[in-house]
Amino acid sequence: MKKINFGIVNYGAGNIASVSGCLSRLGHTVTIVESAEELKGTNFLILPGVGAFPTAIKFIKVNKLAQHLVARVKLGTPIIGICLGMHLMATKSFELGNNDGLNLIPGRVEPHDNGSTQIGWRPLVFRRPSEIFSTFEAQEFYFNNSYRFVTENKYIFATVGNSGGNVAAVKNGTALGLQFHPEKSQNIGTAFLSRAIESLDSG
Amino acid sequence: MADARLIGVITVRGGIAVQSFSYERYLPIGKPEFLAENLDRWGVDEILVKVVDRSKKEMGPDIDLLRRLASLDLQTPLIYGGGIRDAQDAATVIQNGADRVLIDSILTEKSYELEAIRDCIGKQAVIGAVPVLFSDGVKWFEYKSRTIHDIVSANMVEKLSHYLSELLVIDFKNEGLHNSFNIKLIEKFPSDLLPLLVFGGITEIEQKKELLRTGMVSGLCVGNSLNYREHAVQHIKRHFSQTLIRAPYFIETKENKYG
Repeated sequence: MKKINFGIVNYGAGNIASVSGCLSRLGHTVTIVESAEELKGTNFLILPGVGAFPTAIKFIKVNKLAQHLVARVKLGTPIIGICLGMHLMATKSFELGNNDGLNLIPGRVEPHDNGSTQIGWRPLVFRRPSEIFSTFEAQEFYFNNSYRFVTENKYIFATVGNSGGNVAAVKNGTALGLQFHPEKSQNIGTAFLSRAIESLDSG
Repeated sequence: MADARLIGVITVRGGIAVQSFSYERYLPIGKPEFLAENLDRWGVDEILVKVVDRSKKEMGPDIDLLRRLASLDLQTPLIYGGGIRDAQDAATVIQNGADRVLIDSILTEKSYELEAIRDCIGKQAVIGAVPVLFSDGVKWFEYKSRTIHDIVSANMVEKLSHYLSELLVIDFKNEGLHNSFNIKLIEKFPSDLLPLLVFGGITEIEQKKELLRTGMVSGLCVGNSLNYREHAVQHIKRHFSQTLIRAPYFIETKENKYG
């Protein structure tokens, strides 16, 4: 795989070390991005997980990152959002209030039906046939989320098995959102992330 | 889809991984990094690192340890507990290698910090540790002052449910002992509002099955007994159906076709 310089957005929380370690393991370089200036030189963007939506989106907007992230993606820069990162890509979130997201993938973020948290290893069910990802069908990945992404079928890439259709992954052009944590889903997660990066990078 | 998780626990004191007995005696085992690497390779569902001497000494979280663990490139979700005082500490812990945090003394001493922690790292990333014993009800043990607090009540759990995703019920009296976790702590737990993790003397397969049968337990936390044999994790998992606990994971064999 060719070496890519990833920009991991730091919004004041986020398991940056875990994501950074995974990308380094795959042979890539990482820049931690806290300002628009630091986006320069990055070829691929990551919105990491672990955090709360209002705090994260406020940080991104206050540091004037929001418009630059959206502009870069519109120009074709691939982006992967993990867990909270996926939620930041939505149009709107109802986590602890009512906040606008980056609208990279139309949809909204809302609590699970019974207010519960999904924690543990769950299988993926791919909505679209894909040679690249078929080996991951029904394999288990690590989820840890109190809120879920709700969107139209056309953006749903995969759902959580046996969950009544909870979204596991969404896609819109070069933007991919993953509800699970590939960086913490052991070998299978690393393999999935590697495949996803290759797929997005090749357009 | 697995309902429950097997969580490997590393207890750290004075920078060394230890076997802890009832919060009173500690036997050194070795470097926490070695245990973490083993648990990662053996395929536990999460790794919990509990640093037991940071809060008492008001030292804050052990970021150096976290950075050393992060440098190992663990591919298993990591929960860190020990010395977390506020939201800033929680964020620092997450940014330096942990994926979830375990908070203990904050629950009794600084519960006003809970909202800020939740708003910073998200409720799903926060677990509350509750050392307890059973005496006419489930009673909370405050380990710093070594006093027994009030009975854990349904009202208490309801309040905590706004800020935590799970509760770690620690049978501290039976910690380090064989097959000794007091199941009454779960059977008589006052509320099912929060999923429970259990820890303290959980060494046998039948014990683990009994705890999962209560329907209240989402995670079995097992400490030093995992260090007695190679593939201990896989051995335990083989006794459970894959709908209960995720199937065993072998990194050296053909079963791992993604390696």
